[in-house]
Amino acid sequence: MDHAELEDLISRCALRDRAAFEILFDATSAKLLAVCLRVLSNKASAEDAMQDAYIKIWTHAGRYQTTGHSPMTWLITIARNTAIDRLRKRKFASDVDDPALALASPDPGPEAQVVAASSARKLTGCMDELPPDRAAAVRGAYLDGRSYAELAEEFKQPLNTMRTWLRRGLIALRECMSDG
Amino acid sequence: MADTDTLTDEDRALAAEYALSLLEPEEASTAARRMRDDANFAKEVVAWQRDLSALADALEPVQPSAAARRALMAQVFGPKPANALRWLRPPLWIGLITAALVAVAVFVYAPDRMQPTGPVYTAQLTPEQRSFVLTVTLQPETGLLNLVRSSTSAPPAGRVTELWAIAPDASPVSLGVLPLNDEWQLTLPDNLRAVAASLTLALSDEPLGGSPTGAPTGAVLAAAAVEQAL
Repeated sequence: MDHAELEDLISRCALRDRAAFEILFDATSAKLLAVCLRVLSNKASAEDAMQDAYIKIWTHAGRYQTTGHSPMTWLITIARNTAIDRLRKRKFASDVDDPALALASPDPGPEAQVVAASSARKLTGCMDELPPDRAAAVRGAYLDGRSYAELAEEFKQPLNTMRTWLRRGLIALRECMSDG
Repeated sequence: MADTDTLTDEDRALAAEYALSLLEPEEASTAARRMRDDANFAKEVVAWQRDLSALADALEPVQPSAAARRALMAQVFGPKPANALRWLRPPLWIGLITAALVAVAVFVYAPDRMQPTGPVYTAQLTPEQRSFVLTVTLQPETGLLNLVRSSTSAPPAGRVTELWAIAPDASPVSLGVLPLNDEWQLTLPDNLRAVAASLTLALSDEPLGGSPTGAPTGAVLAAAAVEQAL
């Protein structure tokens, strides 16, 4: 299902269109479950997190347009953050404190969407330019939901050192992504 | 692209840590507040979320169980009514034949069935003198509007913001005073439904309780024509 179809379905969800929600679920849930499963490593918990994510998607579909995201990024970000909250047994005071649901850009603009597509391709190349252990740490934080404490243990570094070098890696990644 | 040149490397790393959920709860709530107040920082967080989500491309999709789908739909839409009259149902073989016929019909008509509700339109209103953006989604066929505002900051004392729908060559029709909600729904008056696709939406500054005359009396703060979403 392409970008335009997904956006249309999300707009319909904002208008409380049940059929649109079911089609959206069938088109995207296997990807979102994969994201949750990677974080939670247990199918039952991952399915619970996935359900919570879709409840947020249904409830806050009207916010989608104001986040400046492409549809898959928005859905994946909600699923990932929901799974990580579950992993850390953390509850937000309200859904909209979740960074995935925050209102960010009043004017995403069509050019931002174009950039989105190309930067996704670029990420792989930029990750390859990082020292391998830093790239692994970024992956561990994003895909597995590792905390600094867990990363420090995994990479046998003091916590502060871990944070300093990961931050340096992130800045290098940002510079690489902004080039050209 | 977003102009985030004013951000330092420290800011960018912080935005990345926030997007990666690496911040401790206290730091994370500070970052969340900053996201609301600092548009450049917010755009940087969004850029990280966007870029990092490419990492999920590598994950192999995992089909959820039918039970998880059922549980979700029941949670969102309420449980299906109980089958108290189950024994009155026709025998199984009638059900199977019907199911087969439905499957054929769905197969033949599927392209139409997927688009049952007509196009969706949107408009974004950025009122001068108010610190929020209003995003409106509109479905002409049903006349449903979904409204989301980026902040619920109150208008100046004694004033309100009123929403208007304007059909081509017609006077503005009030859709009411904006509530201090993040998100709410409205239904378009019946006589506007036919022209919903060509509406302009506008916001005006009005006294408490809204325009006393039924037409805008204060400054027009923003106006935008609705556009088809896709």
